Amino acid sequence: MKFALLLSRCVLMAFLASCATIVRAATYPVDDRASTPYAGIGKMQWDAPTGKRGAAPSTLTGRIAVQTRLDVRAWKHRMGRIYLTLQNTPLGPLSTSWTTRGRLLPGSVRAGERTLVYSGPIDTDVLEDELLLTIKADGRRLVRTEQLDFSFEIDVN
Amino acid sequence: MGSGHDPATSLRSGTPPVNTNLLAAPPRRLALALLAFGWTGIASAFTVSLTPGTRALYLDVGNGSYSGTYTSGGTPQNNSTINVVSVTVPAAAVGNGVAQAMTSNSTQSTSYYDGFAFCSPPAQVYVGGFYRQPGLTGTASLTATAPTSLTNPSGDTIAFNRISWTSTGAGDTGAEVIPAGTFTGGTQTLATFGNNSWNESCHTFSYANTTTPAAGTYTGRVTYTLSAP
Repeated sequence: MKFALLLSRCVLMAFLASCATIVRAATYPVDDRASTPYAGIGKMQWDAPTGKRGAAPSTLTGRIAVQTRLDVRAWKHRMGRIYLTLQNTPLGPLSTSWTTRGRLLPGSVRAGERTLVYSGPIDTDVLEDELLLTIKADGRRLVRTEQLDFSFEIDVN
Repeated sequence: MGSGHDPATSLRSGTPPVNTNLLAAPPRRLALALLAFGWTGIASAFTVSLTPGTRALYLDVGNGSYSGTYTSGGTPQNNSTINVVSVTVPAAAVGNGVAQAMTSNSTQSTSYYDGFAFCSPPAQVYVGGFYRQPGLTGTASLTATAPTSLTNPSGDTIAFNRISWTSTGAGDTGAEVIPAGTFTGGTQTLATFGNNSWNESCHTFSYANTTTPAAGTYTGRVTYTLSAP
């Protein structure tokens, strides 16, 4: 009876350990609902031409600051890697880069991809920084107002 | 179990009741599953709106104005100047069939595209501009509208098709984007500007001098128009 109980506990421990492993390996969305794109979004402006004389540019550039607040309390005291993800868009090639105030990493991301913005211990409830996004789009494809959807996700160690 | 304990311990410390009841109470297993599913459901994101670039037309014939240059991100300005192109034909040469070069009062030598010294006024008159709009398609049409004739105060006339122009530009090779031509008297198309392009040429006008009109000063105004649907 004792052996059976011990065995069942071992099975339980093994199950829990495997569950923990599954949780560790997963990627989770990060709650960034407290993030705020600042009002007064700069309009997309045609870029100055480069290259051959007379060839006007077909790219547009816009800039926007986003006060980013990531609720990471669920992973506090763990190691984590946080990524900024840009959803696919119908706009074709799209370049987005950003600078930060230092809490998060600067970088760039293309549509449908993700880029690391934080790697290390999660030692706070909320990770906060200001992202200054620079977005370049193809003016030939941007013929109406389009939305770019950004999100954050975390890989937890 | 050694080092394997850490993550498990970490998981248990966050949700102790779940571990103890996981096997004993199936309904709670379901609750755990739902909780896990709900966790991934905290989907949140911030959205940025991208607005199309503004549609724009700019035309400069003779003297124009621009804050800065196009390549430096400058802004087109209005300029109400109407330049004059003229020639005085010597009495002895009137109607001799030798074309008379005309000159202008234009001082516009630089291109507002980039500040490059493109034309040589007063002989040459700068004609240029740009058109752009969001999207893959679309062109703008550059037209000139001239009356049938130049007239003098006495009502005498010289057909406007006696005036022609050649086209060039510093450093240009090949065909000019706004090519040489002759006024037809009426509205005629001089060039088509492709989407998102800057087009420019320098025009040098001449009077054909093939007729012998009454003495006098003959005038007529040509209006250049850049338009897009």
